[in-house]
Amino acid sequence: MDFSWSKEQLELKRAVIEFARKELTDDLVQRDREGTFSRDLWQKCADFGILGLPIPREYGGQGMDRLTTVLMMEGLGYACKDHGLIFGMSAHMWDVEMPILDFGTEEQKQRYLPRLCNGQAIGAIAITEPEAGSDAFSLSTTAEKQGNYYLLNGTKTFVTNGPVADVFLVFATVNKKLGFLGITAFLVEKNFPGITVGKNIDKMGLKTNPWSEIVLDNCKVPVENRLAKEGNGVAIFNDSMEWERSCILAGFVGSMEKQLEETIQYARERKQFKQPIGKFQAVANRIVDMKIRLETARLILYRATWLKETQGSAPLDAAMTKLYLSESWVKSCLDAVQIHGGYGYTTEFELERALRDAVGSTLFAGTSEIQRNIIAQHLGL
Amino acid sequence: MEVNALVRQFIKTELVTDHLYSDLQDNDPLLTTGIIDSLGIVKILAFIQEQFGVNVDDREIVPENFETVQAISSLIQQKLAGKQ
Repeated sequence: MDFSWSKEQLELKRAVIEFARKELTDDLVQRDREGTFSRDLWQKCADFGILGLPIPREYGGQGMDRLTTVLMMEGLGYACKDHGLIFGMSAHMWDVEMPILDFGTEEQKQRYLPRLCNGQAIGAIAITEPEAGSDAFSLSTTAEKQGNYYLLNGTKTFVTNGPVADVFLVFATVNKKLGFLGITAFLVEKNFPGITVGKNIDKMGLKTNPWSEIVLDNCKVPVENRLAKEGNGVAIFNDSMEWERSCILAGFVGSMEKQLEETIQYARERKQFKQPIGKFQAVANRIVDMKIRLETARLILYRATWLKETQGSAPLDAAMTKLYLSESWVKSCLDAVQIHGGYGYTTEFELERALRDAVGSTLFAGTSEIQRNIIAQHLGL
Repeated sequence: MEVNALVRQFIKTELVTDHLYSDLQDNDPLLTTGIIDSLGIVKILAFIQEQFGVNVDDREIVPENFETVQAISSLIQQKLAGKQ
């Protein structure tokens, strides 16, 4: 494996960092407190090209390879502390755009991808249900074919981007008897008859990214809005989860790097007992652990992305990446808070928010426990 | 051993937990009986790749290719023929 980045790739990363420093600054503390999504920042990211990074140019994207996309998302996370925004964009990109690109018909790609890339439309994935969380394939939303359309019935919850989404990738079963191979994916637009989008669900972190419930009550979806064949939903979901688990945390690796730099600086400047606190081994050791976590997280991220891109499927590595990055991020946030002491606990220092945001990463796209189950299964256990 | 026998043996050994299906036949249903569930499919895909050296494309993971031992074997045979 070649670990070096080209001059062009590093230039792109620098450009994203500069963009984020200049354009993605607003009163984040206030928006986090209020749980406000910024469509303005979303549009700025779309205009810069972030929303279409991995999408070919013919569909309105930037045509970047996946590793370059991940590097740029890492740059974004380094310079932008709005983890909710990054999370929402990542879900839009990996959970909606990529399934359309990988499984959609030419007509579906032309109809949806340009709008998703240029910011006109926001995408959301809707699989989780009130009674089907980790056991996602036990979902009960049904899709009944009637002539040239399907009628969808059921309730979805924890829909990332839900309240602001224009296009939902909804998973429903066309035949419960077939179990998980009855699950089928549909592209449902917010103005289709029979879909109701609920209010923003307040939560612990990632508060600038809105989540909601959606209710499908005889929601009429044209046959041409089915993504791939009936029963192909599990493959679509697994593909999107592999992308998500491999890549969604790329931005947060950048965030870990920025947090490490700020913590080192603080440990050098903050003096107690007449010396910088970084001179105390108890503090230095925590920072060393943060550094090792960052570098190992980075390597596992790049490796999983490379495998997924070159082999098409990398479920084991995707699960390991998701598990390791999310748990590393939480641990490093806790270390950063501890090193900053009382200041780290204050809202002003923005570490408590990062910690709240990080906890979510151990839950979405499959909890840490589910990732361990997947890994164990691949080990033949 | 022929493809059907290898597939049948794998499913009996690795996935059948209910003694009712211990005498699994090539045309017995695998999906409606829950013999293959979402975790089981991962094992089958890994088995196909390891045993026969062929990859199943995501688009091929549909009921008609996994509903019986016969269906799975036919998919594998098609892929093996395509390799030649």
